[in-house]
Amino acid sequence: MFTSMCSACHDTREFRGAEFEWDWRRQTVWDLYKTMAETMPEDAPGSLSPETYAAVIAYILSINEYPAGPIDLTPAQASMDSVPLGPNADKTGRGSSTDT
Amino acid sequence: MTVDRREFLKVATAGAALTLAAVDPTSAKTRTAKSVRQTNSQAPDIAVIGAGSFGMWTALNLLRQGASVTVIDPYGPGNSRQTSGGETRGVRTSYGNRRHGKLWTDWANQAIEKWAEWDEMGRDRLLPRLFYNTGDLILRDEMIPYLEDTQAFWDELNIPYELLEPEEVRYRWPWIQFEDLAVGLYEPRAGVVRARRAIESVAEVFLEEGGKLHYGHASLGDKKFACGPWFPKVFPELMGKRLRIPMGHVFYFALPPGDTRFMYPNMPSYGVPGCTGWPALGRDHRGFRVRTGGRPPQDPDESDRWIDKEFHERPREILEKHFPDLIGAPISETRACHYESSVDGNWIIDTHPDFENVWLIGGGSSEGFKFGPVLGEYIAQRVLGTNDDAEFAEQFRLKEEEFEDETEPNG
Repeated sequence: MFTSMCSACHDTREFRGAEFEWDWRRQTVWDLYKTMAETMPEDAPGSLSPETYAAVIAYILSINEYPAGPIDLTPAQASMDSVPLGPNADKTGRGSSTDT
Repeated sequence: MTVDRREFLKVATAGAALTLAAVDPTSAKTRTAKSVRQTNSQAPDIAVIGAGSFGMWTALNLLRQGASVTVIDPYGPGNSRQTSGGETRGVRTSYGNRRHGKLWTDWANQAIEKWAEWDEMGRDRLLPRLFYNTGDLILRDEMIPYLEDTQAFWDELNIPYELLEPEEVRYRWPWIQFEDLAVGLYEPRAGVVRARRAIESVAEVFLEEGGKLHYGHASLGDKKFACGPWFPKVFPELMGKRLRIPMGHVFYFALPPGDTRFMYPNMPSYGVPGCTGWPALGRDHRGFRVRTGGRPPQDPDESDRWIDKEFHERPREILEKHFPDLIGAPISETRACHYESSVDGNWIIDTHPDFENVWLIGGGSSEGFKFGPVLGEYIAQRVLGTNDDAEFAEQFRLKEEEFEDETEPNG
């Protein structure tokens, strides 16, 4: 999904590691989802389905070594807000949005 | 180390080097600039490859710090293909979203002073005004870390700002619309610079003060060089995956007849999610600027710098959402430019891994222009060996990390 929707303009390097953690410090997966859905793709923000945005988010979480949950990530604020991002994020899976 | 001319050209031809400023290896003054200054009074010969913001400001400062400087650029200072060659560029200090944001905030603040001084110099010569103190207004529907950290930097550096309630934003600029507005962060000292004219003006002063400018293909000896978005193309091995050169899109919308609300000084520069822009600037009023995302990297020698109609919908959505009185306004101009994103989002100011007299300077990361007057002074000090601040040097070091995805942008 990332390759087909994002890689023309973005490199995966932008979405993992220290730079990514800094960009999303003190924010949650929901903040990332909301920003992405409001601003991407740049020439047509919000034009993708919620499930597509969620799939891209899931990919970004995976390359940042967040553990996969038992079901697909869903674009729900309550669950996404429970997953913090940033350098101190809990990646153990507790409170994972995939638990919905 | 000692590098003879033949060896230098061989390596450069192999595409293993990125050069913006180089002490001429053919000169008897091949030793480091610092040692030259310490041991004799003869000025070092330095070639600056690229006449953009980084290149011209560096060249002028090298000249003023005692070097003999030649700028080489294939298209000339302020040309339409340069990253610096657009009509306008913003000058603001809100860098709470950058890991190195405190330094950038500090240096951008110094740059504002220098742009104002430069403009004053120009007025004495009856040159067109370059710097407009528009102020900059960032609007969001919630307080976010970017704004919090920007505020913290401003507090620490004693930079004036205003945190505006939604009612105050609507009172001052009722023609701006923002649904669910929660916060307006206003930086009164921010502004806009007429970019290409500014670079032309730096070049003019550089030439007046004894610098040399060579047009045509950039070359040193028989080797071509380039800078800005050309870096990865000309030096693919070293920089091919250390810089990305996507394109940004800028639209200038024509204002309704006689409507001054969207002109300076009645409208500030602005930042809303996914878009930045600023008012039409007098006296020629090119239009109300809307900057959106752009398109993927392309070969900078082949890419069009205008924007096809397929991309016009997005800026019109911005107008509809935030500036409804401009719905349907005709587009008076479009501009597309490459920018150079480094892996860590910071500048690259470092010597070549193999040649200590070859400097690599780039990675403006879409924010470089405004820093030109400050960066040029700093880079000149580094090249001439009069600034050995280790912390800065580490920040701007050419990092080992590379981008990961395969693209075809760099020629």
